[in-house]
Amino acid sequence: MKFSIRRINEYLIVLLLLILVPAGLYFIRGDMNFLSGNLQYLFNMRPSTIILRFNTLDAIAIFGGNAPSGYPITWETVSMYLNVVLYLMLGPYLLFKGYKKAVKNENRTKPWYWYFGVAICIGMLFIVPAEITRMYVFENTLEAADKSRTKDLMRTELAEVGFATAEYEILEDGVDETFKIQDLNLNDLKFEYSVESGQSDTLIILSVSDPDFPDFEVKMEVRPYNKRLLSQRN
Amino acid sequence: MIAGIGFFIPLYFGKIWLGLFIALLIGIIFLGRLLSLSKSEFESKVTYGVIYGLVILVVLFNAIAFANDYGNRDFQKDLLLEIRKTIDSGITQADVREKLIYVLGQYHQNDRGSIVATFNDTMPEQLGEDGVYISDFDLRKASGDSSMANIDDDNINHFYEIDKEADEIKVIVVTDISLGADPEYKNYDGQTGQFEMRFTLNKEGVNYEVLN
Repeated sequence: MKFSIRRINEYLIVLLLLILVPAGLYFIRGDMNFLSGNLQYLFNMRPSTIILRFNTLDAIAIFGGNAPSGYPITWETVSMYLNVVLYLMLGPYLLFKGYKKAVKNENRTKPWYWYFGVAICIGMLFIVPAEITRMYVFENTLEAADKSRTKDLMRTELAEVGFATAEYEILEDGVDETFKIQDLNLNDLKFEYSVESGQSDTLIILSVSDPDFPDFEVKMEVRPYNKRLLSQRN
Repeated sequence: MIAGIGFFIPLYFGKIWLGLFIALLIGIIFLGRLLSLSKSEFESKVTYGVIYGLVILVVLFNAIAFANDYGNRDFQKDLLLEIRKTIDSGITQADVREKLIYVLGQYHQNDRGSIVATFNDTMPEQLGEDGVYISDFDLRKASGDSSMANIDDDNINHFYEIDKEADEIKVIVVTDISLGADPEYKNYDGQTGQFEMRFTLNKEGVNYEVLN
């Protein structure tokens, strides 16, 4: 059986590219980015992440009371176009052109640009793991946001109960050893409340919990006749 | 070239998603055309099938990535505005509602004759000119509190109304950043669609309402 050294070399180069391109992309996208300036944006197979980055910066500006900057024509926005051209046009074109030339060649030698096409197309395929990772991360972000939202709701509702308790004591002199949250007649409370023992009409300690978040509880001190009426602690 | 025109013209008009959509669409059409042209060049049907499958995979994931990112384009903004609303509401409750309940306590504890007079006696510094309620932030800023040095504005506007006949004080709070439920709502301070709260103090208690 006869093996062509040239063919083996071609396979070895492709194998090398299969290792080097993912490794290069891994470093560029991580903390060990070796590219200077904004060159890294050229190697972004998900160009819409640039828009999301602008949206996040705008959101932070709005949050702080500043005007959003929108989408300026900068290297980052231009790189989105270059990403599309590089991964969906130039890479496949070089691969096809190189293949076509090699087929016509007696030895089937691949031209240099065929290897560039292979390298770019390997990068292009990285949209698959990148998108799967992003979906997984986003699910976690949604879950974390939900938890955080529930904690905020617990604190907000506890404050509502705290204010109502203070008013109940001031208006009806109602806080004594038999006092229960149900005495406040607050409708639609979402969480579970308890009044801690040892309270007096000048210091009432309330706590809120949620059976879905057994590790999280917030306590609140209510001082109905004090300027600092409520103080919350986790 | 066509992809460039399709991308940069919408970008110039601030329609960046449209620009990217057009560029991706042209890229995918180009890829499909290249694939159909190359069919006759492949000697092996298996190789062509593999390339075809990979192209479909790439096109599919580009579409999924675009659709997901477009669908979540306002996620961060909505989340931050929701947090900002929680903060604005919390600060206002701590600042205004606490004080009004304190005044209520003073009124009942000391058997005062009037809620308005009790407020005037206990918290005169809060009642500014022309119906502007002076918040804790404004008071601390005016007193030169160093912790406020880097904050120009809390973006929360406070106002008050006194009805001596009804013996009642209303404090109206409008935020500059947090949005209310109705975008057409005319706010107390002339803004439109902003988050607005109203606290009413009378001898029956303190009533809290979210007006928008």
